[in-house]
Amino acid sequence: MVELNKGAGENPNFEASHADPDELSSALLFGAHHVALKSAQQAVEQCGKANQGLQQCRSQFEACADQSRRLEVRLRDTRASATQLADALERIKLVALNTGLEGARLGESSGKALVAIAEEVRNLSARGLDVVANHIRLVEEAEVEQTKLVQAAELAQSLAMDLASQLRQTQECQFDALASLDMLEKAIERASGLDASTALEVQRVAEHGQGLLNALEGLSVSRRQKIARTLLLPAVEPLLRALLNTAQMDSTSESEQ
Amino acid sequence: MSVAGLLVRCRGQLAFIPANVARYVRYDVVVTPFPGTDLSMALLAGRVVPVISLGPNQRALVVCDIEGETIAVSGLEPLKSGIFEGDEQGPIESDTVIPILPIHEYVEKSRGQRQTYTSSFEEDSWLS
Repeated sequence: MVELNKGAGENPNFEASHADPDELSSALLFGAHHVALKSAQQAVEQCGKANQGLQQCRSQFEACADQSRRLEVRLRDTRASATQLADALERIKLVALNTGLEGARLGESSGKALVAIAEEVRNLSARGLDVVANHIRLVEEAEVEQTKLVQAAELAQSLAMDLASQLRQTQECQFDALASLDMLEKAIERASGLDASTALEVQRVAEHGQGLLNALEGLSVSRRQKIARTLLLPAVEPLLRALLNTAQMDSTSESEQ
Repeated sequence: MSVAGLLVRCRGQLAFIPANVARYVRYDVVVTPFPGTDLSMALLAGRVVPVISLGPNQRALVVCDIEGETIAVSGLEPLKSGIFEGDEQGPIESDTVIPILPIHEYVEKSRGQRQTYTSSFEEDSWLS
């Protein structure tokens, strides 16, 4: 049975089981490369989604500008009809003026009723003219707002276009980064003699091993380490054996070569 | 006492045209000026009528009867027509007498211009 309290340096078999530092560095490089690759792929994906969103935004802004232009036509029509109404009211006012003049010429006794009606019609048409003038003023204000709306929609559309173009450039940069990462992977493979999947497995095993060592160090300062050893040894012993066997196989194959 | 007629605004001032002078009001009538004079003319109900301009507001044309002659006056803004409280000087609105527009004087002035224009027209050698 292997004694756990012996350090790595005290156990020759354990020493043999240590990985080559270059290989470990390669494994770390592969790990970093893997993370960079995943991030770059994710960034490309996110850029694509953002581009799609921007396209939708652009079409919405375009629709907004179109609606606004239709609104402009409606407002123009409204103003034209209000102007026609004002013209008609002016005519009524004129008729009332002439009727009043006719009634006045007839004299107080016979023309009084005509004058009263003319005065009433004139007052009503004047009030109508005030309302129409107010209506035209409101339409003019709405036209100003509508013009601003069209300008804002067009500006937003142009900004969305700029943003889409920048996103496309970013996506191209990310594709370049992906290609560079691919080249980097091949270079690390050539330099280390390891393939990416093996290197990643090695890195994962090294991480687990480090975690195990850390946990064991924690146990060594505990008061109940005997109990812990008794409980842990059956679980850890097969692992140590497997590691020793791997190390022995490696050294045998190296000596044969 | 009451007075009948048309209340107008002439160059920012209120003025009155009696009902025996003012006949009717027309809007947007084409007024053609006589070259070299302050006079104009307009076609009203198939008749050419001289027009005296009293101000910049050219939309309304007040058609008047001056001693049997039809004369139109432009540059006035008609406000009210009917029978008003007042005296021989004009209607009284808010304790103020609104003066009667001296259309006769304007007509007399324009007559002088018309005569000058007509005589210059007759003396023009190349027409004879």
